Amino acid sequence: MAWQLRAQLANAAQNKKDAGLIEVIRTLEEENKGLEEKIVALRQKLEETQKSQASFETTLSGLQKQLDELKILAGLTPLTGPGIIITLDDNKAGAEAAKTSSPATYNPENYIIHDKNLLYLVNALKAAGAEGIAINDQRLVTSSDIRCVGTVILVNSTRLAPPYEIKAIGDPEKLERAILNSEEFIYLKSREFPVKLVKSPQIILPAYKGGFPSQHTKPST
Amino acid sequence: MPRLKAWTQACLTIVLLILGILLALQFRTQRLLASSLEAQKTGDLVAMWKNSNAKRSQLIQEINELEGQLQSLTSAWGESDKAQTALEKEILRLKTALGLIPVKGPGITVTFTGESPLLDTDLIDLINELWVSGAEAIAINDHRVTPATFIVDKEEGPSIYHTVNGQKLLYPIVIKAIGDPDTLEKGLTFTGGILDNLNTLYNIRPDIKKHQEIKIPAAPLVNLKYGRPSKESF
Repeated sequence: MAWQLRAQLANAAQNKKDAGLIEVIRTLEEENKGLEEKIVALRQKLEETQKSQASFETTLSGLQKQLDELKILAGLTPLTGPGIIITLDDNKAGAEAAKTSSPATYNPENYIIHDKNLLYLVNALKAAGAEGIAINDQRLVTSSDIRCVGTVILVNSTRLAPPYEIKAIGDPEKLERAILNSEEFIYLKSREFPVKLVKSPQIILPAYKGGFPSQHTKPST
Repeated sequence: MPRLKAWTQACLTIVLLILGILLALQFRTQRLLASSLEAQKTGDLVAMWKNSNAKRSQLIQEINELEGQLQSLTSAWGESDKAQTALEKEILRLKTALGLIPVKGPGITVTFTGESPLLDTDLIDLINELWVSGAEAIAINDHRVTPATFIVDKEEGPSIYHTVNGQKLLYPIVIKAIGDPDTLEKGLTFTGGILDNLNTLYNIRPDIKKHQEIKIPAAPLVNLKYGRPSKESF
């Protein structure tokens, strides 16, 4: 047996001239082992990254969904639904008549629609549960202001011209009742302003195009 | 005699055992030698070297591939990260605009005491005037003003009281507005302005104070029942 071992070793020794080659192979094999380990680690890292990215994308799409809903509520999308349309115009006929019949007491202020008429009608619409309101092409948001400069009415700081069309989405019956009973509407009717109210199964409000200034506002906890 | 026999048997067992161990050892050595590089022929060694070399380039290619994937994932991650920040910022902005989160900031308070013969329209005008003057958030006695807020007077026997969103408003009525305090104050107090008129016509003199920081509470979210987003653009 010992002899056999010796023979084998002798045989191996014959390959001594291949020692350089063997050394190269050993180094290569060693290197390959290292590379394989690196691949295993990389695959693991890749899988982890993919997994957390997938859950991150779920978070992201959740946020996107939330934003989309908020945009609807904030008036940043056109809104459609049942509602009413109120049309108000200056009392031109009344103005003409007054001008000719009693020019001394004629006051043009009494024959035009004022910012307050719109403001109080809008408040009445909100009290009746209006979910969205627009005056002419201006969608109303929280910070919308209605005012006049001279005889021009500004809504969202945009000039509007008569006739004024107030569109409101909500329960048409409830909105109609509220407006017909509002002091403002009754007043305008009594002064013979050409005012009109129609219910509609489907009206469309434009999207708000202005900004939401918040330089001074911070969330508070 | 039986004793001798037992002794022989024991010896034989030991010898056979040793022989067995030796054989096993030999076999192992043989195998080790056969698989060791030193036992290989030069031609085989060259083949092995080529093989290992080919494997090495394959592995390196795979590593490059994986590293590329990881990198593009990571950079996409950076993009998503930016997307998340942008989304959260916009959500916060809209929630603020809708009055869904409590806010704080500089601003003014306008306080009316019980002696003021105020009307609902005065309050509506005042809120409107604050928006005109650049208010960013408003509350009336801790009712945050939202797109749905309404102010209505109700009668209770001989007396009248104000309601905000259908809820009774108790005096003192404090209106808080966040924004530039000076601009807000001037917007209310200029000659011929809303407070000037209330003062001269009805002798209503609210107390106006500027503040470094006021806090305004949130309003609950109201979901739409009738309206839905429209695809139609205007």
